[in-house]
Formats: sequence, structure tokens, C-alpha cells
Amino acid sequence: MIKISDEKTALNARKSYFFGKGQSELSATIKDAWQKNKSDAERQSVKAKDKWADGETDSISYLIAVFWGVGSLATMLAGSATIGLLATLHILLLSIVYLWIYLCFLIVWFVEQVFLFFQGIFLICPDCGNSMKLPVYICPNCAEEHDALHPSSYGILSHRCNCGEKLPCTFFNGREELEAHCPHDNAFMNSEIRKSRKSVYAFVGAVSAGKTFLSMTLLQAIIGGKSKSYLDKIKIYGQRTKKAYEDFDRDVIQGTNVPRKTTVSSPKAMTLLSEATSPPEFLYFFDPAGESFRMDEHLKSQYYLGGLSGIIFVLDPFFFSKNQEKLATKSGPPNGSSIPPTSKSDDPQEIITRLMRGLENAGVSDQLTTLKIPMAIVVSKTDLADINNTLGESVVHTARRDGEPEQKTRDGIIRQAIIDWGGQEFIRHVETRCANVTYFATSAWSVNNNPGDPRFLDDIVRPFDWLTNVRT
Amino acid sequence: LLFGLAAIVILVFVIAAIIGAILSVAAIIASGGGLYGGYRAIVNYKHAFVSKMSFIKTKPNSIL
Repeated sequence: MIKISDEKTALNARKSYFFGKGQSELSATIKDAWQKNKSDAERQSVKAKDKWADGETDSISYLIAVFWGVGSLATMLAGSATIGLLATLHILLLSIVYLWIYLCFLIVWFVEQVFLFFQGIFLICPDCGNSMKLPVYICPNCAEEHDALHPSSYGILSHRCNCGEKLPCTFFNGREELEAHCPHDNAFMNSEIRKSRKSVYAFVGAVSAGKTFLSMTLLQAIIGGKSKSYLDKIKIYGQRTKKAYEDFDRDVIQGTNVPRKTTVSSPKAMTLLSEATSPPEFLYFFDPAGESFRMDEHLKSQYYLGGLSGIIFVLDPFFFSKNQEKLATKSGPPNGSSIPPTSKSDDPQEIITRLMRGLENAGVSDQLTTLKIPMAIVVSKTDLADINNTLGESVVHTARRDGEPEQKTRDGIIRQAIIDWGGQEFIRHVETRCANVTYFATSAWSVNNNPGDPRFLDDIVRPFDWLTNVRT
Repeated sequence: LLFGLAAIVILVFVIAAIIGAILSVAAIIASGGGLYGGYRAIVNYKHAFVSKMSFIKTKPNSIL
């Protein structure tokens, strides 16, 4: 039997008659009928006794006493048997109705779940990243909360709030028009978000690996129509993302600053809405602070890990000492830009290990199986220290043999470059634990201080396009 | 001997008739009692049903 939690609904909604009151009333009816029958028999028995006592003066009374005595016995025996029969019929009828309703709500619930699964509609809070089966719905009449508004013993197509308001309880009949909030952080979840498909991507990488820069320029590339998967009808959704993007545009693209350092370890998603499909699709991008990946403890609050569609692992080439030396001899990073990480806890191999543990804790994978979520390894900052000359697109085009898929050539070159830098253990680890890994190299920044340069946007969007293609 | 046999046969018939009559009366009383007991039970169940099952008086909560 499917166990569906009814806890809060049990407090705030009225249970279907046949699942609650009907059962208690059935039991009360049987008890009452039995009691009435017993009283009848006792009354007749008393009459029989009285008449028997009268028999001493009036002999006809003996006959009447026998009549009531037989009546009392008959009421006791035949009456009990008849009540047993009637109660059985009553139970049977109620059970048929009960099973019918149970079957109906299971079918409706199952059809809804299958529909939502095939439509790719699932719920994940853009604020806290928690996945949920259902949000907490609010009664439009009394503002009471309902956290189990699905077909159940409270109703097949609608529940009735304690205030009397009828609340639709399936996706098909208007449930998503009700107001709702996330059960974890109470963030408002509007109807548009609830009715849409979701794709959830996370930027993973060390401190100062370039995640924020990459994520913001990726948004710029996608809404600029650079993504082959989302050519048009895609826009930034929500005030938070709009503000973050406007700040980035003003400070970085139009200005000369670098993006502000991400300090939030439990990030809120940046959201894009694609209206090219039906139902529309929401793209969530989570960009946590690099510090989040320094300790297992910090990963526990990365709730979005449980609902990921793809991972963009940003690999800072300057973690490797070989590249750091090269950088020292060449021109350094532009003023104020990323400082190469040196901490052992920022070792990409360590980060991958911690990420895997985080995904295991989130129930996405386990130690015995490889991770199914596609992972794009993106080498960042390729414009510095001649990294581009080792694994840039020009190298890929030169090395590509006739008929060989471009990505295969790119994979080979970047993979080899990482091994040459000393990252063979990282490669081995990633490829052992992940079923679907591909390599990319890009720079969201340019040493010519020309961020957001259209020439770079193609490179930036490539890993994202690969992730969306692999996923679908 | 013939009279003796005839008397025994008649006696058997009389006893059988008496037993038959008693059984018939018992059967009549039993079936009458059974019908009465059943009738009373049905009446009692009906009263209990009408007084306890609330949907007889008011519309139950919507099941859909």
C-alpha cells in the first residue's frame, strides 16, 4: 500500500466520510442495533417472568408467559443471527465503496505522477535548493496550510479545508493555481514555477576557480541566443536573478570590475525561463562559494545536489604548480582578478571526492555505482599563461582528424593537458566515479579586459549545450 | 394375537401422531419465533441505522 503522509492535512482538512466518520458510524450502528435487540429480549423475558408469576391465580397466564419466553429466546437467537447478517451486509457495502474510493484516488495519484515524470515537472525550491514532492498549499479562504494536497482519503479530486473551502488536489484540476510555499524555508513558490519543467545545474570548483564569472557569462550567452539548446524565447526570471545580472552587466561587462566574490555557501538559484517548450522550462543555476567544497560538513547544506541535471566542474589550471610557475614568468592575472588557490583542500581531486560524498548523502549515487549525472569539466582562465596554446579551440581545430567528432578531439587534448599538469589522479578519479564526463576549456575573462566578448561566448556555452543534450 | 398386533400398530400410529403434532407445534413456534426475532432485529437495525448514520440526515463530506 502506498503510504502518503497526511499529517498536516489531517489537522486542516476533512477526511472523506467513508474513511473516517463512515467507519465509526458503522461500528456505532452495529453496537446500537445489538443493544436494542438485547433490550427487546430482556423486556420480553421480564414479561414472561411476570406472567409466570401471575399463573398461580390465572392459568392462562402460563400460556402468555410461554409465549413471551419463546419470544425472548427467539429475539435473542434469531435476532442476533439477523443482526449479524445485516452487519455483514453493511460492512460489505461500506468496504466496496471504501475500496472503490481507494482505487480511484490511487489511479488518479498514479496517473498524475506518471504525467509529471514524463513532462519533467518536479519541484525544487529556487531559494534553498531542496527537492520536494509537494509544496505547502495555502487555503485561499482561511490561509490555513495544507501539506498533503494530493488524492487521498481526504478526497480524490479535491479536499475540503476545515473552513469549508474546496481545494483542488491534483495537478490537472487547478491545484497549482493555489498559493504555495516551500516546506523547508517557506519561500514563496509561484504557480509558474510549479507547473514547469526543471533543469538544475551547479557550478562546482575551488575558491577563485572562476565559477561566478563563468556562470554569469553563461547566462549572458544563453539569453543572447548563443545556446543551441535554447535559441529563443528564453529570459531571465525573477527579481533576484535580474538584479544579479544587471549588477554583473554594469560592473563587469560595461565596467572594469571583476565579479564580487561569492560568499554564500548555500546559494539561491539564478533562474532562466524558456517558453519555447510546453510546458515551459525553468533553468536553475546554483553557484555556491568555493569554500563550500572544502569540507564535507559544508556540503550538507547544498540541498540542490539532490535534484541536479548536470554539473559544471570548473577546474582552475593554476592549482597545478607547473601552470603557477608559467604564470609567474608571463603576465599575471589582471588587477583584482582571481588569486590561484594553493590550499590542499582546494585540490580538484579532493573536491571531486567531497562532491561524490555529498551526492551520496543526497541520495543521488552510492559508492558502488558510477554517477549518472553528466559532468562537464571546464578548464577556466585559458587566456592566461598561454593555456590557450595548449588546449584552446585553435589547437583542437588543428589536431582534429577527418571524420573525428570535434568533442572527441577536444576531450583528448584537454585530458592530456590536465595529465601533463600533474592531474592524472584527478582524471582517474573523475572517470572512475562518473559515467558521463566531457572536457572543455574556456575563459570568461580576457587579458585584454574584454569580458563578455562574443568570441568567448561560444566557448562558454559549449559545456552547457553538451549537458543539455546528454540530459535529453 | 391379531388384536394384540392391531393394538400395537394403532398405539405406534397414535404415538407417532402425538410426536408429529408436538413437533409441528414446536416447528410452528420456532419458525414463528424466528420470524418474530428476525423482524424485531430488522426493526432494531433500521432504527440504529437511521439514528447513527449521519449521511441519512446530512450530506456527507464530498468524496471526490
